Amino acid sequence: MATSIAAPVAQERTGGIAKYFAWSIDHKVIGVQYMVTSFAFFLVGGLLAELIRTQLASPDAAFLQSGGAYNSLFSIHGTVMIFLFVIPMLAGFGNYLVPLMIGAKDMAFPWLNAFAFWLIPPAGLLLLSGWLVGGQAQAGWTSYFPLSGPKFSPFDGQTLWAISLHMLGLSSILGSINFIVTIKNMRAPGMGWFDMPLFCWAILATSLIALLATPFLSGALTLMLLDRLAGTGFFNIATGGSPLLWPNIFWFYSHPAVYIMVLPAMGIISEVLPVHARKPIFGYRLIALSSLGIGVLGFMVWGHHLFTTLSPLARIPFMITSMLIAVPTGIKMFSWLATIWGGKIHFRTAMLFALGFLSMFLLGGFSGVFLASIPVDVHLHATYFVVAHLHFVLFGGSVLGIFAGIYHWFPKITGRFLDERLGKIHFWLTYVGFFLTFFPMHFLGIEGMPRRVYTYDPKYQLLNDLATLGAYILAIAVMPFIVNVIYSVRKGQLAGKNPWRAMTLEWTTDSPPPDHNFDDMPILPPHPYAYGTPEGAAYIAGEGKVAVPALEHAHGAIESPTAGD
Amino acid sequence: MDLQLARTARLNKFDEQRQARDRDLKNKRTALQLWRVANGGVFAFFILANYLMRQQITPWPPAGVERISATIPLIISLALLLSSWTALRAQRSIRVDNAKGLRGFTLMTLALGVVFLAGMALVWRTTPMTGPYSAIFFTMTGFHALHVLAGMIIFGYVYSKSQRGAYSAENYWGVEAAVVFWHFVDVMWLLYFVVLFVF
Amino acid sequence: AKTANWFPTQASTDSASVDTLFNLMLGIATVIFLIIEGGILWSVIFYRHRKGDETDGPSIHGNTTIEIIWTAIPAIIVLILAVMSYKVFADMQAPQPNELALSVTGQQFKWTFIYPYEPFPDLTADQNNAAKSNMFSDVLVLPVNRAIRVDISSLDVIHAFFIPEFRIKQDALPGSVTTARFTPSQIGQYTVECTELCGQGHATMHNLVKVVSNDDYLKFVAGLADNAKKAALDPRRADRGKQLMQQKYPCGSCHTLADAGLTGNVGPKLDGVETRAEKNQDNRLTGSGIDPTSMSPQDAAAQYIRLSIVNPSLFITPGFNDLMPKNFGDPTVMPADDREAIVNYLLTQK
Ligand code: HEA
Ligand code: HEA
Ligand code: HEC
Ligand code: CUA
Ligand SMILES: [Cu+2]
Repeated sequence: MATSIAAPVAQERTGGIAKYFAWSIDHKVIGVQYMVTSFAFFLVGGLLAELIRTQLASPDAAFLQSGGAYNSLFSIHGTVMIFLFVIPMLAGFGNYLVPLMIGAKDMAFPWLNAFAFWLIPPAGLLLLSGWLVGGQAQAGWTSYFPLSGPKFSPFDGQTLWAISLHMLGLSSILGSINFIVTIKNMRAPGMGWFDMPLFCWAILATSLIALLATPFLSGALTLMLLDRLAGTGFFNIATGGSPLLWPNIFWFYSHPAVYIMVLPAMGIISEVLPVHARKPIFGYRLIALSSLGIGVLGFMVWGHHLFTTLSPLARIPFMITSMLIAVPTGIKMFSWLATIWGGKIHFRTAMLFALGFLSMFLLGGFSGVFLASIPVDVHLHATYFVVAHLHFVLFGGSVLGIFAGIYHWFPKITGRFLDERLGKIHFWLTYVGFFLTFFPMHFLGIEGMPRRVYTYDPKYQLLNDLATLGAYILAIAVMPFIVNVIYSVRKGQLAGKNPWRAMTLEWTTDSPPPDHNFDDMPILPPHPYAYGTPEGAAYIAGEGKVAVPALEHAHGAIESPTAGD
Repeated sequence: MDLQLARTARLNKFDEQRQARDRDLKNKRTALQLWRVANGGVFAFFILANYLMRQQITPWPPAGVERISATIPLIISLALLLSSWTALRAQRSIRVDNAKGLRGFTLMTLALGVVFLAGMALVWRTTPMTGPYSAIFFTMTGFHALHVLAGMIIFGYVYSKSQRGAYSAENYWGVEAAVVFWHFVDVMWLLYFVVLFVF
Repeated sequence: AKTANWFPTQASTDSASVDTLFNLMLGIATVIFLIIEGGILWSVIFYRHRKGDETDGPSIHGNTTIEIIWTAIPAIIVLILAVMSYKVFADMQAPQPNELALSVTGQQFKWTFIYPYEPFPDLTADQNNAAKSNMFSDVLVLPVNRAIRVDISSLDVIHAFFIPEFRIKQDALPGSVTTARFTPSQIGQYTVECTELCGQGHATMHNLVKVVSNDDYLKFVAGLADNAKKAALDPRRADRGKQLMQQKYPCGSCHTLADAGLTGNVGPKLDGVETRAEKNQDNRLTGSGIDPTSMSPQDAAAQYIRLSIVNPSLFITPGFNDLMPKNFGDPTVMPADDREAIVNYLLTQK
């Protein structure tokens, strides 16, 4: 075992950049493919968002005169951001990190892994090609019937939307199976469930949710396609269909899906905070279990999107379950705070983004609880307050978490640091731009401005202009990031194995890791977050390690000395 | 001393390979379990859709629409049940290294699958398109039939491999996967049969 | 009623309790917010790593007491909030004595309000029936301080009925009737928005609400009844067609027509539609299956306009999509008299 103190050397990269554009079954290549692809879709979704904000800069539809064109903008913006950016981006992190973190050579099913990834680019192109064929989808990312039916959406784009989501759903199911099997069966000998890094717990919970929820979306999409292509009329009231079947099924999937979008980001935060605050994660077990708790509760709240739709009595249980989700989420928030409390915080960009997550996700969570109260939601539903909520949790939560993860693991993935100065510019522009874009939307919603409108009452203009200004700042904010990545991949400062002096297994191997991840059987840390202990310090320094014969390892003879606290 | 080391090394290697294979098998078994959960989700979804449509339309089938007769479906259900048994026998055979038995029972399973699909086709031909009742019927049976077809393709593959003697009592994952999937499809059919023809 | 001024006017009796609930939640959220953000700020300021200090922080892995506390307190808070929310909601839903029941219909992209009708003794039963369907208004006029119940339905896709000043919102679903209750408490003008995405004209689907004194309300209803009576006696007048297009049917949300003051942009301009039809522009007559040689140009134009309304998919005006509602051919949606009045009116648009 070489120690991390040895001077870093550039690692030989096998195959160069070409392998990222080809079929590969190496989970690290696939992980990077996921991340780069989904980031490209982030730019596409972001471009659409900039067009949305440009339209809303003035109340009188000065930019696009047609409601249809505008409806397509936000429909595809929402769909791209959720299904082609956040979900695959986090799956990319999972792919890259989970095998490394549990000390495995690869995912359980490398070929399946590659297949699941390669469903995504064509699905994305299919979705975007709606603009080239007979009309882009324009029924919102929720695509409620009857609006999305053949009668009211005679646009081929809507059919492509359904096909595209079908493919993404399949990808998600296959990916989840792979993650669950990998985490369950492939952990390094001696690594118990509660010795896993929290990110793996998050991916496990996420995969279970995706496995149980996505099939329902697939079924509903099948019926949508039959309605549109074979004229069946499942959702058409006139032919005995049920128009409420779609909203119920859609949210039965999509509410759990919002936790698919945030749990892995929370997992990233649970990794980043202890490392850069030099302190063990506070309340490991409760954080791990609260992910599962959120997953279970998440299946019982879908009706909170239908508080103005369902019969009054049916709304009540959903209010109670929705509010209860504040409890497991609160456990995480407080534990993170306790983690940094009393630590020795290094303000690297990764840490800034993680702290940004803490501060902004909190606001998004609060607005969620407001919306969970039926009488309040009756006023706020489908107004800009909901738009504010969803961006505070999705941008202030998932996206800031994703950036924290990128800055944290970039040195592992490429062997080189991202530039800190550009990183800090990126962070501050993003943080300020984000707040300016989405905070005013709360007030717009309270005043009653409906969402999904391309023209509005002039009394709302001032706050809208602030939001548009913020959105332009956000567009500028990504530039330093892109420059940083392109520059640092080739010219960045060399990082070495363990630049942050972290304790999870991915940091014990080279940066970037060799083809089979570990040259020797990895040696488990006393605990993934054993900061502040002599054993932990010794582990990071790579001292006192004896290579153990593989046979003994394989029989699990070597237990970590203080496994599970 | 040297000898000892060499022996340990050989043992290690053997052990590692064996472990890798065992783990691989374990992974595949877990994955197949999870796949059934996901796939079963879609089957369950259509049952839910069927239920919700019935809530909306009384009587069911709608007035003027004739209920699809359960006679042929009942017969082919028996065929499918029987095929589950033949599939099981195929797996039992290879477990005791009886390759001939494996081939025979696989062929029988395939034949029963053909009987099922042929019967289903007959039902479809005699069922007119009348609106929601037939729409959900075609969707559910069609979805299920696709899975029967998939199961048969897998069994066909197993059969062609078994002709080349690919399976043994030590190594019969392909057979096992086919049989497990076939049982799953069979159970789903029983559920659908109850939903479509009994209630 | 006092309120933080970011809410719209409190113009219904329930507004205040909703706002109070919101503000209470905001208060609780602010406290928790300050604790957590304060903790973050405190850490950021006082727990920075000092240059040269390469040691770790203290090895603290958890503390059961404190973990129980921060599980229990939020749980208690949200349960209390749920109970309070339930109470406010139950009050909003409770039926009131002496309710005024109106029906509200949503259709791409306009609301129509139907008022209760008292039969005129001097009209026949048939005429009374016809008049009844003419008790419509595109402005929701409401008496102040009277409990209102609206029965909401939709003729096509899902819409949602939203009056911000009343803090009331309810989906309009095709195929079923939903209800909403409220009591306007302040005279003034408000808007009904549509807050469920319903197509290209969703943003412009809003109607005026006028809360007036009871006297004014009675006058308004009497005016409606008069108008309805006139309509029943001579239903196919062109000027009635104009009024129908302006007030009862949603034509104006998609079509522009200068004479009637309509400004929609989802469908083609209707100015000059008669001429276009008479001249068989873009082969619209033949495209709709009309043989222009078999009848007079005026008859052909009338037939074309009629078909454009009852069966709009027959001919799609170039440059547009097949988005016009398909249910105007249904006599329960558009009675023949209404249709003929509209056709007669559009024939005047040369
Ligand atoms: C990452 C995605 C994400 C996450 C994590 C959440 C989290 C939550 N969401 Fe959100 N939500 C969305 C994404 C997300 N949501 C999206 C995309 C929509 C709009 C969809 C559309 O219509 O297009 C939406 C819409 C939405 C609605 C429907 C609004 C409407 O259309 O009318 C509701 C209503 O209940 C809701 C509630 C909640 C709640 C209660 C949480 C909770 O999980 C939040 C819990 C967290 C906290 C509360 C903060 C931390 C807790 C503490 C510090 C403890 C102490 C706190 C208290 C005692 C209050 N959300
Ligand atoms: C993760 C999810 C996510 C993310 C990150 C975002 C990011 C943004 N969103 Fe999004 N949004 C949603 C999910 C998300 N959104 C969803 C689900 C909806 C609901 C949809 C619906 O109603 O159906 C929605 C709706 C929505 C609306 C409401 C539309 C309406 O109701 O009418 C608005 C309005 O301002 C908006 C704005 C923005 C902005 C300004 C950003 C900014 O953060 C974006 C910042 C942009 C960038 C950082 C990239 C800029 C890049 C370039 C300019 C270069 C491009 C170059 C190339 C392509 C080569 N969003
Ligand atoms: C939801 C939008 C919408 C509404 C509401 C609507 N229309 Fe249309 N209409 C269209 C569109 C789109 C077209 C063009 C496509 C077509 O020809 O079907 C059209 C075409 C027409 C035409 C043919 C115009 C021509 O130039 O040939 C007539 C006439 C017409 N509409 C009348 C009406 C009347 C009368 C009403 C109200 C009772 C109405 N429309 C309501 C969308 C609408
Ligand atoms: Cu009607 Cu939106
Ligand atoms: Cu939700």
